[in-house]
Amino acid sequence: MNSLDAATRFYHLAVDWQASSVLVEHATLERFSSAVGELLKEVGENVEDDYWASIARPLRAARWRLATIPLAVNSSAVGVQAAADLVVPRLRRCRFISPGLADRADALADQLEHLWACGDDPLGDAVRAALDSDDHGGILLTDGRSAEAVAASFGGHRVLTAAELMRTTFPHVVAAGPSAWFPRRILQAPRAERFTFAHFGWIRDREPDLGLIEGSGTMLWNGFRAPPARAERPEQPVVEALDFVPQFDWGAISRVAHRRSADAHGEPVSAQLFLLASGQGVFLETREGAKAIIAELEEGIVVKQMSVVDLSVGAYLVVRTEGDADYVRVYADQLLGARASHLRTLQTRIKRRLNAEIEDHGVALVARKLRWIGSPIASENNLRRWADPANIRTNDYADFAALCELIQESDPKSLWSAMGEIWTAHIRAGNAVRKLLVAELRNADTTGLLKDGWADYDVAEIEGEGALRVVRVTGRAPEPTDVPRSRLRKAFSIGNDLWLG
Amino acid sequence: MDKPSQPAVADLWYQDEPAKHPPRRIPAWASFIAHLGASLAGSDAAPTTVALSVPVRDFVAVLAATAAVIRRDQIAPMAPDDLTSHIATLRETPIGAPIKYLAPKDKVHDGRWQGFEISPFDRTERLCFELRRKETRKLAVTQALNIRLTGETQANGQLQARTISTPPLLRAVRGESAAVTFVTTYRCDVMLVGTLSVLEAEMTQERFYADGVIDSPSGVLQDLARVQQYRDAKRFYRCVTLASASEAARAQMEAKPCLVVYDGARAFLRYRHLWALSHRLVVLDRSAASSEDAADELAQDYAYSQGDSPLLQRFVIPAGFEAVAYEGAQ
Repeated sequence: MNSLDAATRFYHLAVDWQASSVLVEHATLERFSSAVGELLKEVGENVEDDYWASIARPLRAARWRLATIPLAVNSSAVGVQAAADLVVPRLRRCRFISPGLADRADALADQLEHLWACGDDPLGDAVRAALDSDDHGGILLTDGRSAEAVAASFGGHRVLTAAELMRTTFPHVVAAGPSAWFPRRILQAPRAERFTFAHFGWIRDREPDLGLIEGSGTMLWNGFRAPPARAERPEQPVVEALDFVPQFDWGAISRVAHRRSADAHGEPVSAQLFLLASGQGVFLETREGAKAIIAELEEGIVVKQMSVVDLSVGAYLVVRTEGDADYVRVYADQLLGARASHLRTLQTRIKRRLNAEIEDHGVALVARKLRWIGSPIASENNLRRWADPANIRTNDYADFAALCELIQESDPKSLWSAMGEIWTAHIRAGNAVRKLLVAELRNADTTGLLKDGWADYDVAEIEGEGALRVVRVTGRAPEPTDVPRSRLRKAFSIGNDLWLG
Repeated sequence: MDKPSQPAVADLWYQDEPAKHPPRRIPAWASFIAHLGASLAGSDAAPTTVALSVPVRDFVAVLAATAAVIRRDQIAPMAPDDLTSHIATLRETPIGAPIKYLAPKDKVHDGRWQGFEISPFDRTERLCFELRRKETRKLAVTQALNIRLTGETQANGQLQARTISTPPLLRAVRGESAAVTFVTTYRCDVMLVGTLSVLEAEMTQERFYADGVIDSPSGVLQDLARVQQYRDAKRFYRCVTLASASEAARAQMEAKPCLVVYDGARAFLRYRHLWALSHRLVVLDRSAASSEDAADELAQDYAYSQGDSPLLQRFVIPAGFEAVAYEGAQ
């Protein structure tokens, strides 16, 4: 809790803040940035093709990092050399694939080969100059992944992301990039007296729209001063800041994700692919009622379940780094103790027999049979849910008894009671995991989590390998896809070749 | 009528850090919030929603809730001040209803209402009630104002007599007599939805003063708001909190507060469908990403409302706030 005085300081900041821009010029980088834009424009819709996609992604990513990381062009954190290693051989092959664009491709390859040796640091120099002798200035980055490298280069200055900035105050913050690349809340609820946005001159920022509440009769103070207009350069047009931001290539990411499914097992289930700030992806089941565990950090620390359909970019998802991805089940088995093995065997037997029925007769016929036997709600959807190996039991005993009769289980009452034990253990386990994680988060320093977008928490009470990873969702695939059941909830690496935002 | 010497919540004082100087007036933004809470609590217009966006949420919800509680106590006191109407109320009060009898020297007795009877000695009407140890008291009707209805329907447990100590800040804001009633009666005037630990810290940790001298009556907002879940107000309260991350209990859902204060986006998004007849104050923190979602919901709500409320027209809204007020949505 802030004191009344500390809260008052935020109101003063809200009406006093000033923001200016520093335009950074560097002819070589401008030519490179412009050449990338021109080539991709020429490629047009073909950019979806494998060949062009494998060039476009690393180029856009390299261009983005050059514009957002205030380090030397040849620094490994900027990754120009890694991008060049991937792209230059492909660009050189353009003559055999798309001869009309070969000259442009060759020219771009030449530029890249020159760039990876370039030790200039125009963005870093601009940030340094803006900080000047300001010992207490902070450096704001769009992404925390390069924070460590930037901090090493700017000794004494704190390097932070927007999420961190919202929890502290600074006299002066120098942001690497135009204001449009940062969440607008950094100016809606300013935590610094002065902001300086250092960005390349060929990227046009936009006037920030600060209003939050529609219909408000009062306007928020806007201390943003647009930079002076830059002289037109017909050969190298200015790019709108938002057009510069790379987009996810969901097609490529999905293909990689599916290639990794080769050794997976289990029946296919409909799942949604989410990208995570840790450079990973994860599939979560999309069936009605499917839930994921998330952590909320903004208004006190809360760990709770959320429907997968409601899970959106910015949420902090809880996954397990290794071992059984279903950590609630693991903890439930711990609670069940010696009974777990026997009870799980019963659960597996019921599911196996029910799935065999469905395989032999089809889901529609089995659902009809169940209704005829006495199940009040045996629709096809409900039957699919009951047949799910993760499902424990029906809500109503009448449905369960009908299932048992169908699969020739002779003692439905004792099975109902056994499944009830598992169900109770799952409820207790879910609550316990939530409490344990909240305790971990409260005791831990969440700086890393806010800066990097992810952090691991070793909850000793949950047996087996793997910590719980709290990680920000950075992307959600537009469409669900079918994946083997064993892939669900297991985070997997996406790879550096694919843009992660 | 308030006596001029009784400060409103909007007129309170506080001490800055470190506490070396005399208290000073709460800042303009805090005073505005208190005025707004009091206005909503005193409004007899159709259910009105006021949405605010703020640079930081600290103290906004608790100040509004506290001011609303005090305002409700001023305009609808549980302490009677009109002898004739109070006697009329007592005539309709069921036998056995819990009462408080305010005796001299701040002594308060729990009691059960026994009705009116005619004295065999002077043939005048008497007020009858039972105190502890089955003691029956009979007072002249002219003393009816010393009998207070607690708001409860049943007297629970044993009847007791005790000396009531009221918080100094409450006495300064409400006066001696009203303060005693305030701490011995209950009613849910305000529902406060948010993060309970944060609200509790704000209610109980910052010290406020009745005026600008260091030895003036002082206390915390909890002394004035009497939030049921926080200290010393479990039984006799005026405000109820609900955790925005938890399920509402039936009693909370069925409450009929005059004002609901939603402290943050999560509170509003989760519980905006409840308490349709209450005024609403929605506090959105612009530093929180979740406020964007809540602002979208509010925009829809506003679009379906009956139109702007004039409530904000009487205020000069301090810089740093966005504010909109409308009637009859949900």
